Amino acid sequence: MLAHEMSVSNFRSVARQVLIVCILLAGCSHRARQAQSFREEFYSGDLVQSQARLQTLIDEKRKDSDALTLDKAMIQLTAGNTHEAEQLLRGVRDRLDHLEQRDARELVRSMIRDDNEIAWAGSDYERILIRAMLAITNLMHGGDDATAYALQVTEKQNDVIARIENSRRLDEEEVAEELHFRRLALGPYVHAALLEERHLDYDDIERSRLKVANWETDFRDAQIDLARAREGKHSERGNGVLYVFCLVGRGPQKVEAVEVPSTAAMLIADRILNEFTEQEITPTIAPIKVPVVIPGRSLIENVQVSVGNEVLGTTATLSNISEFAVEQAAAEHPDVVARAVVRRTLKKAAIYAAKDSLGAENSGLADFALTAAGVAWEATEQADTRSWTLLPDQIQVLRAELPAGLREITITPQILPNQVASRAPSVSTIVEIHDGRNTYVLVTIPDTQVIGEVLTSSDQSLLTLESVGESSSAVMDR
Amino acid sequence: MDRRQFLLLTSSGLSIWTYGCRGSQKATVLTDMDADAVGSHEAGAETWKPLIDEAVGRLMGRQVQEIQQASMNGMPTGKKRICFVGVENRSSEEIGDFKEQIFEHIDTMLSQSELYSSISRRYVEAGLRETRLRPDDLFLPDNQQLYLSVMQKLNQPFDYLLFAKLTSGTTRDNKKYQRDYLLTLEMVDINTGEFTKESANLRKLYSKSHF
Repeated sequence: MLAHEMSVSNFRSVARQVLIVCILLAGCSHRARQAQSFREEFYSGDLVQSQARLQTLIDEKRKDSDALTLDKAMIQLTAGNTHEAEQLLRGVRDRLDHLEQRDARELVRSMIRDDNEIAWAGSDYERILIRAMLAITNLMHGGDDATAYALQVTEKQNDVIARIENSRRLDEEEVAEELHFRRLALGPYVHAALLEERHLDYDDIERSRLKVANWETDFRDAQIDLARAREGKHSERGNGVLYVFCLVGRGPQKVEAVEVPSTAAMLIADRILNEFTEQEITPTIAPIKVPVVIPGRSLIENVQVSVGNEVLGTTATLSNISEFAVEQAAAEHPDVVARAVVRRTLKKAAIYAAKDSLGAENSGLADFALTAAGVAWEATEQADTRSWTLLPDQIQVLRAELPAGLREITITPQILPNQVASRAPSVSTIVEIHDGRNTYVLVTIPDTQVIGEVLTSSDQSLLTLESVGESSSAVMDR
Repeated sequence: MDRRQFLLLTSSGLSIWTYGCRGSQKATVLTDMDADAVGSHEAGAETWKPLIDEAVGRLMGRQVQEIQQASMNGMPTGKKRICFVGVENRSSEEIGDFKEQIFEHIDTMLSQSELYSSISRRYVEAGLRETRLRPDDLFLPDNQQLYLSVMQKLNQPFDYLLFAKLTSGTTRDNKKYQRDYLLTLEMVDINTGEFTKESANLRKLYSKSHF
C-alpha cells in the first residue's frame, strides 16, 4: 500500500515537472515566434505592426531588452523618426559601455547555468555599429553630432583591437596578422563627407578617405574620393553634393551551434580521466553550444539614383555589415569557447565532488542519479544568441554633385540577376541642394522594395513638387 | 576547514578579486593647478597646450620687435587682422577632436593679444566656400588676392594669413619609441608676401609594459 502511494506520489511529482517544462518550452517557443514575426513585419514594410509586437517583447523586461531596443531604433529610423531613433541608440550605447565591464556575480551565475546569465553587453561588432548608425541617423536631422559619432566608430574599433592586444599579449604586428578582421569604413567616410563641406581641413579629409580606401579595398569610389581629397574640391561653384545612403538586405544573425572539436575533446578527456579517478566523471553527452554569427543576404545589387530623366549613377557597397560582423565575432570566438569549456569543467567538478562526498562509488543508484543529473545540468545550457537582428546586410552609398536648388530624385533598386522578380518599384523624393554643402538621403531596402520613409536631411515641410522647377535638366555628371 | 573548502574559498575569492563588480564612471573637474593627464598612446593636452603656448608666444615676441621697429620709423602700428586658415595635421597620429581645440586655443591667444584681432572662423569657411579654394591654394599670390576680395565683400579684410601645421618624427627602440612633435606657425603678410615662421617642439617617450 505504502509502495503504491509512493509510486503515485512520484508519478504526480514527475507529471508536475513535465508540465512545468512543457509550459516553459511553450513560452520560449511563443516568444521566438513573436521575435520572428516582428522581423518579418519589418521586412515587409508593416512598421506599425512590427513596432507594436516588438514593444510587447520589450515590455516583458527580458534579458535581451537592450538588443530589442536596438531593433526598435531601426524601426523608428526607417519610419522617419530620427530623433527617437537617435535617443534609443544613444541610451543603449551608454548602457552597453557600462555592461561591457565584467561582473563577478554574473560570471559565477554563468558558470552555474550559461552565458545568458550575463547582462547583454553586445558583441564588439554591435557596439561599433551602434556608433555608425548614430552617425547616419544624426546626419538626417542636422548632423550636429555626426562628426563625434563618426570619430567614435574608429575610436571604438581601436579600443577593441587594444583590448584583444592586451588580453592575448600580442604586438601590433601580431594583431594585424592574427586578427585580420575587417574594419568599418563608414565612420571615416562620414567624417570625410562632413569635413569636405567645410572646405578647410583637406589633410583630415585625405586621412579619412585613405582609411576608407585601405579598409574597404573593394569600395568602388574609394580612389575617386581620395584623389578629390588630395587635389580636388568639394564641388564646383554653384553646385552642392548629394549623398544617398542605402541600408540594403537582411543583416547578420546570431544562432546556436555545436562546438564539435571542444565537445569531442572533452568527451575524450572524460574517458581518459575516468581511468585514474575514484568516481565516474559526467560523460560529455550534451554538446557544447556556442553562438555563431551567420551572414545575412541581399536581393539587390545596388540602387540607381536619377534626377528627372537623367541617371546620376548607382550606389556602391561601402560597408558589408555581414562580413564585418562575422569576422569580428570570429575574433571573439576563442573567448566564448574558453568560457564554455571552463563552465563544463566546473560542472563536472561539482558533480564529482557531490559523488565523492556521498561515496557514490559504493552505491550504483546514487552514482547513476548524480551522473544523470550532471548530464541534464549540462544539457540545459543554451548559447547566448541575443543580438541586434534588424541590421542591414550592407550599407551602400552614392555621392553625386548637383546644381544648387530643389531636385526630385528617383531611387530604383536593381535586383540581382538570379532573383524571381526582375523589376523593383521606384520611389521619389524632393531634396534641396545647397551651394557648397551636402544633402543626405537614406533609404532602407531589406528585400527588393524600399520600406518606410525616404529620409532626407532637407526640411521636407518646405519642399513641394511644384517648386522643383526646370533646373533638374541641368544636372551634372558625377 | 578541509583542503577542498580552502581551495573553493580561495578560488572564489580570487575570481571576485579579479573580476569584481562593474564600476560606475565618474569625473573630476581639474583646476589650473592640476596637471593634464598624459596620453599613453598618443599626444593629448599635455603635448599640444605647451606647444601652442610656446609657438604663439614666439610669434608674438617677434611681432613685438617688428612693431617697435616700425613705430621707431614712424609707421602706423594698429592691431593687425589675422585670417587663421586652419591647422594642418601632417603627424603620424590622428588628433581627432583635438584639432578643433588646437584651432580654438591658437585663435583665442591671438584674439586676446594686443597685437592682433582674428577673423571669425565662420567667415573664413564662408570665404573658402565662396571661392572654392583649398587652404594650400592660398599660398599663390593670385589666389590670395581673390580670397582677399571675397573677404572684403564680407566686410572681413585682413592683413595676414596664418597657417598652423603639426608634424611628428618617430624613433623606434625595440619596445619603446620616441616621438617628436612640432607645431609650426606660418604667417604671410598679404600686402608684401613676406612670411614669418615660428615653431615649438616637444619630445615624448612611449613604452609598453606587460604588467
